[in-house]
Amino acid sequence: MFGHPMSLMSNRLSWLRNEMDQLFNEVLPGWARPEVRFDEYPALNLWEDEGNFYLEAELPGFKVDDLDLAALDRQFTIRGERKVEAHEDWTCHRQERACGPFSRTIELPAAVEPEKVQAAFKHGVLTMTLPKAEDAKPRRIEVKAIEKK
Amino acid sequence: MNMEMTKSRERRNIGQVESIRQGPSFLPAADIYEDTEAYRVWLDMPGVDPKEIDINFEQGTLSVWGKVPPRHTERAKILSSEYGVGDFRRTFNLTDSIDAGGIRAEYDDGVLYLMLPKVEAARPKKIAVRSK
Repeated sequence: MFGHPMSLMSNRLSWLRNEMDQLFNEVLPGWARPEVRFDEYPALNLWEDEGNFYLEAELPGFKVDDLDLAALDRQFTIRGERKVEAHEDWTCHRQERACGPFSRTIELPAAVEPEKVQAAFKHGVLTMTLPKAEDAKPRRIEVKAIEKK
Repeated sequence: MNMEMTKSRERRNIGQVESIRQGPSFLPAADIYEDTEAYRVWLDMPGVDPKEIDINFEQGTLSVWGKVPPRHTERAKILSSEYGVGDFRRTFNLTDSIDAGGIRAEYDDGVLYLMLPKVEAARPKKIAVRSK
């Protein structure tokens, strides 16, 4: 008999696990990897100053071409898909990074000017500057003193 | 399984206050694969300055620390904050022997990739059968 009985056992368990994975993958393709949840991905942080909203999302592993951004009035939509290479012939120890398509729409507190939205993407962090529509900006109201006759 | 996490919390948005540093740090989500040559690790670490990534491998323990510079401190008013911003830290124990000198790391689009080659003795070997 070669090897420790426990290592034989562990080999058999890992074989069983692989078989189970394969079976599940046939019935429910992609079950093993946490699919992106449509209602909450990506998490967004939102700031504002007088003229702009600033929206930020962490999207590691995405390319600019994987993302689709759209602004209309008060609505902002971000869509995309993360592709993760499949490594079927490798042993998998952890698979926590989400993949797949997502779409999220949020309602901004005020209307923005869609054609002036700017987006920057660096080290997996997407930062968007959304200028507020003219009539959504706070206005300074000049008070004129009326001369008394 | 040859690789074990020393920390089991997997959601990176669970803030974890480190006592030795200011500010929270987060567990990066990880994909870990093994082939005959090496372990291959991908860690989601958005917003990290590539020059500020510490990777240590000592006595079978791999630790990664990616420093995240603060963002938007000057911006006026927070309307909604769904995730925290802070450093990424994670530690892994590897039982197989790793050739520490051959470890390679790349950071791209917010993802850290680590290639940890196995020492020759830990790689599977084909044994030739001779016949007379």
